[in-house]
Amino acid sequence: MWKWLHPYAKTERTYHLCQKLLPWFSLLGLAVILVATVWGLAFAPMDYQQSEAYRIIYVHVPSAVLSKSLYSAMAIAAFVGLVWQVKTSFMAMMALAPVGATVTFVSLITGAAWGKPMWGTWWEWDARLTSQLILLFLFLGVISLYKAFEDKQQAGKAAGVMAIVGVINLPIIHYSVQWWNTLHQGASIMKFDKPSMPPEMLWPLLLSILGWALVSGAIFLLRMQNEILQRELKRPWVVALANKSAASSEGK
Amino acid sequence: MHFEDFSSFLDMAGYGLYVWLSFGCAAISLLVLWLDSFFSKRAMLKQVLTEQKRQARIKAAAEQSATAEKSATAQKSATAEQRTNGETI
Amino acid sequence: MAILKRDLALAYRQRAELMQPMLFFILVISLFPLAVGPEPKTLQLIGPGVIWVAAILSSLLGLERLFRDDFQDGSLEQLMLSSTSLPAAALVKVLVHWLTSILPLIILSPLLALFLHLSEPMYWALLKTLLLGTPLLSLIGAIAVGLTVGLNRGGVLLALLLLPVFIPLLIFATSAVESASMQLQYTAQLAIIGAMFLFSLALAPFAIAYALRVSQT
Repeated sequence: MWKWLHPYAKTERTYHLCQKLLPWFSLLGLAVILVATVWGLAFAPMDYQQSEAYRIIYVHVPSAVLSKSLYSAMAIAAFVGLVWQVKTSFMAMMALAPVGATVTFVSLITGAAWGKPMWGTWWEWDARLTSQLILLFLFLGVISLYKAFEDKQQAGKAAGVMAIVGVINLPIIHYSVQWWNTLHQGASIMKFDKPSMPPEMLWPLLLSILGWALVSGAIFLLRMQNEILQRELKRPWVVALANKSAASSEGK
Repeated sequence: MHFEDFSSFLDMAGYGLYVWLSFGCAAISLLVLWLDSFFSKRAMLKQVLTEQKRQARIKAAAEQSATAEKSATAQKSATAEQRTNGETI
Repeated sequence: MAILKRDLALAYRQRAELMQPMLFFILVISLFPLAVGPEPKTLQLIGPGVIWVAAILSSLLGLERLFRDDFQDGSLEQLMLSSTSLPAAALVKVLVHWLTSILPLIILSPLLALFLHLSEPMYWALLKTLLLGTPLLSLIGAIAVGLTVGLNRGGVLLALLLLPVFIPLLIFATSAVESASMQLQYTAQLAIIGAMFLFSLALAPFAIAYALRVSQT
């Protein structure tokens, strides 16, 4: 079952796979995100309750959705790495972490910017914003634990353990914060999600989620290559690669 | 097109600040992350090249000194003096 | 069992160092009345939260020395090579840590409850949450300590790793005390804390053992 993964435990192969996928993800992601943003900003109809401010949804929701999926992806990579001792898996984990942290940060900023016109304050201790904040801290914890170790092999394992502890905690945090929130604020907050969204609003939203996923994928691929390079700077294939890329850039 | 003209598009019915702030922050954050990844990749490839050149230099220097050593053993006393002179200069 | 005895004896010899987190605990709590004013109502309102936050912070201080000495003098390595199972040994060490650096805090808590004007039902609720919740602090904390024990500058990193993870515990514990202050039932919160405790009791020893192995290489 895991046979197909094994070739990609070889770093060189993974690097070239990333190289092959990278242009597809970047171009497609940029195109989709551009279409979705323009559609959402300029063509989607106005929301009758929140007027034009609801258009923040086209960045807030994709980033919020992705932040959680990126954390899960990171934890899965950590799990695979710890159980099957796959070196590239830890690299994938560390390539995902900064992307996830950035996306979580974006969802916090956009949440605050949406909160100001809707709640009248930049920061509300709303359940979702709060758990998003904790998620950001979890990401940063994993990254700083990894950075603290000199030996990257050890660092990968340590950060992996922490990522898994975090992912077990994530549902508990989510649930506890939600419960805490209802305890302290009752039903005074305005609900964002409506029972149904007209398709003219929904389509650009789905498209923007797809675009964000593709762009995050592209950045992940790039960072994955960086992780591989960083650890194999002295290997012959890296040297050959550097020579090739230098030659091609001189040829231009 | 939902908006009548460009200024109403910018204004977003009075919510322009918040909407553009969100989109701007999102764009900047993603761009910064992407540029950081891109440039660190380039820097690393460059580092490999300089390291390679350095290794080549070290190798060349080692070969040079090895040949110098050989000739030194051939004509012992004279060149040894020369070399120490050369080193002090 | 031998480890338990040895560690307790060692801890007894380092009484002065063990006192530090306790003093820190009392100091942090006495800062709050000075900062927000001596109004009994306000103090009662923030009391449970303050005691729990202070307990978490001072347990972080004590946690650092959980594996540090054993790591530095090599007895941890010996333990790994010996025939005793590492998860069990880790569990014993956690138990010793709880007995030596957290139990004193709990014993001190009536005094602090007086400082912060907690009512009697609130105090009982606080005591129950502390008894159920603080072992969780030691267990989860030990995983992170095991990971960072090889690092020289582990202190702040430890806080950064652990504080987000402790948030659910903080929420449930303080809300239990709050319910008690309003004469409400708080068994639900206690049950959740208990469930988290049992869950981590089952899994944490293995995670700690793995973390120690990672650090030792």
